[in-house]
Amino acid sequence: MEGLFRYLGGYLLVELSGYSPERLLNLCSYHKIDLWDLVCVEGKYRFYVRAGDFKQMVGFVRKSKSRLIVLEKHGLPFFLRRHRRRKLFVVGIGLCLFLLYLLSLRIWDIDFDGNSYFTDELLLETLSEQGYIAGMEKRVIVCDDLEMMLRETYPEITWVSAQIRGTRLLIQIRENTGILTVEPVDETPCDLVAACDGVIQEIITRSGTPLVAAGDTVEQGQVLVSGVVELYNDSKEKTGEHLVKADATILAAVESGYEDRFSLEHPIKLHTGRKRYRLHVWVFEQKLSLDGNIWGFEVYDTTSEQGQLILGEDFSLPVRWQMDELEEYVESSALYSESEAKALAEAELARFLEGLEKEGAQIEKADVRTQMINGECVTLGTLSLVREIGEEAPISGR
Amino acid sequence: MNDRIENMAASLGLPRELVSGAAVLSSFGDSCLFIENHKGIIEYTRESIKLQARPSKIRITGTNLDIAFYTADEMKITGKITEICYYR
Repeated sequence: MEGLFRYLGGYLLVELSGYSPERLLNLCSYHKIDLWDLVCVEGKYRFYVRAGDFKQMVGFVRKSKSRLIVLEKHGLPFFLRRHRRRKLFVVGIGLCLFLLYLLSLRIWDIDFDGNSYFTDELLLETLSEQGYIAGMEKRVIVCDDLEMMLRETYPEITWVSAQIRGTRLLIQIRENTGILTVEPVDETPCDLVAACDGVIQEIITRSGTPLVAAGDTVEQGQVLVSGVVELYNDSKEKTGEHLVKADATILAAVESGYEDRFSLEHPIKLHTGRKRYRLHVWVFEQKLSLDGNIWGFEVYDTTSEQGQLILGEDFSLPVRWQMDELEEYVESSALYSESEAKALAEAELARFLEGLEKEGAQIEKADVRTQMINGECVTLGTLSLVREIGEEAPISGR
Repeated sequence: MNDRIENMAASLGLPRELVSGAAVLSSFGDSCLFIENHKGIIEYTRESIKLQARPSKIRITGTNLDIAFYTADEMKITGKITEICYYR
């Protein structure tokens, strides 16, 4: 702090010599003039003194029969005097400081943290619909309102914390994507029919009348569990019918065909090695850039890198940029080798089987062969599965 | 006379240097020395600094002696200090 005051008031590096320089030093201390960094160089004294005090010192020079020479001038008054002819420079500094102050009154960057399900773009859009955009005044932001708005808009967001740091609006989010929703149950009476041909392995009926048993061979569309429950009296006479929603677990051994074919010829990108760069700059959210395909690249891959001008850690400024790297390529085609094609076919089959397992099917046997036929990789075969085959259908005959 | 004043200050619980105006020297190792209640510089070279003080004069000898600050009440001497001597 002392250093700041010295800078604002200005200070001098002075060389003192003569008959009795110590006397002048003592006169200074007697008149409360502070000296610092006093060094003796070849019998002469050099020290720093405030510019205001130096004028007072001049009066002591004759008394002490010594000589004072000003070697250096430091501080704001001398800086301003040195640059008095460069008025625009000083005005520019002042304007710059004023502009920085004006910029510091607004939000120039909105950052999200902790979101994985909801993307930054989606959240930014939601905020902008409510008027929270880059460039808005800081004083109109009520963090509590913003937090409540986000929680109400997205019930999956369980916790929100918004805070303003410098010119950045930081929003921290905790998501809960595992919310259980109770779906309305459809109680319309129905049958369960076979979704495909197969042999029943197991049937557990919870409601309805089972029409097949384990070991029966069924065809696609055949009613497995009827939604009609017949009512009998004590004399075993039918007295009526009751319609229910048939519900059962019906597992059947099913033979399913598998076919996958793809061409051995496939498109590839041959990079020419030519690269171009395209710079986009946004100042106050206004885009200043050279758009369009002006370099003659027909097709190219784009890799983008984005950044924002930041002073220190939290003073974001309204200047953003995006550097696109355009890498030209030529479209061409290539042929898969047999081993490559087989590996791709196997991967596709594994993905298909995994999908079936996720649906609850058990894979008993996969009898599949891969062949190269007329420039195509053809995978054909039969899959033996045990799977749920019951599917809801309107009650037959009604 | 001085002894009498110092005894009186001691019996009243006052700091002795405050009453007698004696110089107070505080040093950090051999590289830094604070001096309060000095009465002025008699001579200053980079090898020795002679100070007017009470009750006796002080001579500080060493090498590369600088005066980091010098005010009416206190001063700070930096450099390699080898000797502090009180003399009349």
